[in-house]
Amino acid sequence: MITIDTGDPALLLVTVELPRLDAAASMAFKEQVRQHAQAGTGRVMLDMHRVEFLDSSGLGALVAIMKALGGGRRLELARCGDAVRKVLALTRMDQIFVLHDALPNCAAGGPDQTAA
Amino acid sequence: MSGDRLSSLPGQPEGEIRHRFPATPEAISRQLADLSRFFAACGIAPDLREKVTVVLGEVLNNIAEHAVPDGRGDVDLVICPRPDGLHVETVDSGRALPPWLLTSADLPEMGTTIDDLPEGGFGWFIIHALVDDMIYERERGRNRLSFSVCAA
Repeated sequence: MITIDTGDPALLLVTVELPRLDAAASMAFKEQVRQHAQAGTGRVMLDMHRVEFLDSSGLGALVAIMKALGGGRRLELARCGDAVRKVLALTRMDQIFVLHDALPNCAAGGPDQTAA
Repeated sequence: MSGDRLSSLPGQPEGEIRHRFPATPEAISRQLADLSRFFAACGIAPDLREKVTVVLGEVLNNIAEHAVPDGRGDVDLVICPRPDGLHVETVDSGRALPPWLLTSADLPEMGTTIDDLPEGGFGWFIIHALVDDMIYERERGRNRLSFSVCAA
């Protein structure tokens, strides 16, 4: 469901392997990411490039993950596809999460380097 | 009705899609994934395809969560092509829809800190933002919700 890249201690990069972040998947997804994210204190970025569908349950899971980070940390979302971006914009949650068009350079040894 | 896949879709009269599936998040997820592929194969524009699957996701999950929360009931889904988009109807035998959800919905209150952010309440806002002429009827213990999703 998720792949964790721990190559950079200051950045937890989580690749979301689910094509659909919806009501059927969001609870388990939220728990998985939360466990990993709460273990550290650095940035947390989700690579969203495989996610084709996001619904309000998936959106709620992303908010819950950000709340669990603590310390005012913002959840960062990289490489959101068109459909995901539209839902984020419609609900104005694109103002809440930190969006990135690409993965940061420091992640350039990660498993998804060639996937873009 | 046996499966919850869309194998029976092509060749329906006048392109109408009719299907029945259990009101569970898993069946709904599979149904929407199948519908999305079917719409793509039909040549429906990506924008309309995304809109209708997003709206259907919210409508169907609302049925699964509130109308038929034990998952022991089916949803009947009918989708008809229209010149300007798609017309959708859902029927279920669950609990009635609260009337205040039908007129309009605001975005949930965002609050001032991360801890205040809403984790729910987006669904009906998304539905109202993307559909036209929504009609709800409660008749003989059944909910019938119909609406149009227009292209562009």
